[in-house]
Amino acid sequence: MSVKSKYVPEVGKAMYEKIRAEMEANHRGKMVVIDVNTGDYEIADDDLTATMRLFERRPNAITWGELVGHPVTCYIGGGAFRLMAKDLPKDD
Amino acid sequence: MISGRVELVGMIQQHPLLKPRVDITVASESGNAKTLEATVDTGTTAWLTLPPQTIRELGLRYAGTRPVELADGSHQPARLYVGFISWYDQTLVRLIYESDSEPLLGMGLLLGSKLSVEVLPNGAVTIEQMAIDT
Repeated sequence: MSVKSKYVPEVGKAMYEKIRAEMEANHRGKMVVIDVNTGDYEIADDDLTATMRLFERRPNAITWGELVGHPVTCYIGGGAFRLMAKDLPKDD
Repeated sequence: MISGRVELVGMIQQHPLLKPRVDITVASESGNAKTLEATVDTGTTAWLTLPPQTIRELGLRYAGTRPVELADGSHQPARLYVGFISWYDQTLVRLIYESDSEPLLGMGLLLGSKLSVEVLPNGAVTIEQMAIDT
């Protein structure tokens, strides 16, 4: 049975914890993408490469990804501006 | 060259709130395509973010989930999808983050391009491919 999408972070993080020490020792700055259904994983310079390589081997993979040594894989900016702009009238 | 316009979205204390916007076409693996207005956001490191409804309409393939940092500094899991983005004269396979915001065109997609914005209401936005190997 495959992991439901809402549990992917929980399962993925637990799987990454098992390999974290080795990843941080040898692959700092690389992207690790884990198939949460099988535990199989790929390491590459970027998320796209790692994810696509994993899909070739595991076409039904559902993945969790970690950028080794960093808390996040991506920054999504401009949030405060978006919230402000949404609530403002066109003319003041 | 990709062209767009700066849109006036509101005013705050007599200062215009402006957004540089361009049209971008995204398709699913099955070829279901949509052209959307995306805001150029240099504070986003992703290639592209799309709202959940657009992702559902396109039927993009769910690839997994990633930890991301939002503009308020919070860390949250964000869903990631596989999409085909029309960019210059190519179709690129890229990972697209789900975000509740409007579509955001991030620095990932802008890598190797020259971005020019006339920061005025209705100003020109141009994105040109640079002759360098990224």
